[in-house]
Amino acid sequence: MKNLFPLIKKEIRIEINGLSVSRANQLLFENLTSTITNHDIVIVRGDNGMGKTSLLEAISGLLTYSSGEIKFLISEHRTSFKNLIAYQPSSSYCKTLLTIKEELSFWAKIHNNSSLVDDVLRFMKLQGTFNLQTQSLSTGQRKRLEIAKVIITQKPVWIFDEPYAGMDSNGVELIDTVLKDHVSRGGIVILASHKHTKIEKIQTQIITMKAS
Amino acid sequence: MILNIIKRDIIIASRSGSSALNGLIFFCLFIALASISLGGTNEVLKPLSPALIWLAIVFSTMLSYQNIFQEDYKDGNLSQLRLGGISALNICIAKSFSFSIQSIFPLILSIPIVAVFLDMPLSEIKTIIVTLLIATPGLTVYGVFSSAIAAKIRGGTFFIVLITSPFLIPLLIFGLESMNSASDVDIFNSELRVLIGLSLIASAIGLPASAAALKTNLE
Repeated sequence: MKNLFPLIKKEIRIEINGLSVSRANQLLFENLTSTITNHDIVIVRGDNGMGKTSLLEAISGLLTYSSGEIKFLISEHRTSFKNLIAYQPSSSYCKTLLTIKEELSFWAKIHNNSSLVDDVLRFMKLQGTFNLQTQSLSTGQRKRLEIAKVIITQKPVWIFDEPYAGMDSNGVELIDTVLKDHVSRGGIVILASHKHTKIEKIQTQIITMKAS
Repeated sequence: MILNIIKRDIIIASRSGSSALNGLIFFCLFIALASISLGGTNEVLKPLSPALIWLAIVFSTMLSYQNIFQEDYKDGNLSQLRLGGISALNICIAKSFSFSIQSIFPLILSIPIVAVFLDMPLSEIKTIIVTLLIATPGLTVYGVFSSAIAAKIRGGTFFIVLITSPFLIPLLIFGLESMNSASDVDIFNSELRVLIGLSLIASAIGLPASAAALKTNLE
């Protein structure tokens, strides 16, 4: 089986400079500055409502921020967030009437990686249930499908919002291994989580969101 | 890429069955209620039947406009498509096709059956289907446009009806006029040509406008 994780040889850097985000006219956080590069695991911590999701969405390019700047660089050349980011929000974006395989194949086609579908299904232990509609999946299965969809993008930067929510210890371990494998091949992982897991031991940066 | 999105939309729609079925039921109910309220006699109904069918189709497509983007916006699929590098314009084009296939074509296909109940002559059935097919791009794109604007608005159906009605009135006028002046010899009368023009203008202006609206809603 070929390696499912993209091997990232080029230097990738995300530079966040003085970022401020407000939502509904309320300032969530201001002046956040950070540089994230290959092999980094960044954990975003903070209580509910402190703007963790907003920060992840801003980095993913899905949220306009009030001030500051986020720069995406591949080998010192500026690029668009679309070339780098795979974002998994806290809620699943599965189409409930599609089967696991249809859902995964669709996103594989969008990202031009159709050849990986079967391998990723096998890797995430979903091959036995690939004909099940996603509405009938258990929490764990749905989470595994979400991670499969992130792998299939073959993007270098993975952003997760609460990846461990609702997972048992085996599931947590599986997610940790996947994230570790990705980072070891030069990838970047940014995640927001309340749960304390083994990934903390190898984290390179913790961003704590506090009330300003 | 566009084909993949259309295919997925059609699969989902065929499994849920709701969008096409709702429109179809509304369409048939409208015709039935209108016939009853107009007295139900053939002499009264016959001259009015093209107008009734047109109205029924415009109303039932209007009611399904809301669903074009709202669900994909809410569950995050639109953001994910954007991260996948699909441009807003391509999303709008794909949604236009899947909307016409899911919501308008079933209505047009059901016209022959409804027409039998209204006792319409065959030539009239033919022209109404032709005019409606020509108006389909217009009907679709205005819906995509309004839905792209209203994607964020909860319960935006009323808003959508409000902004699409002025656009749909010309389609309605020229569609019905072209039916009135259609004869067996010349189906392509000047009114029909205006209708073709309206549909083309709608696609040319409406699609980029919808893409722009969608883009602002996704940021």
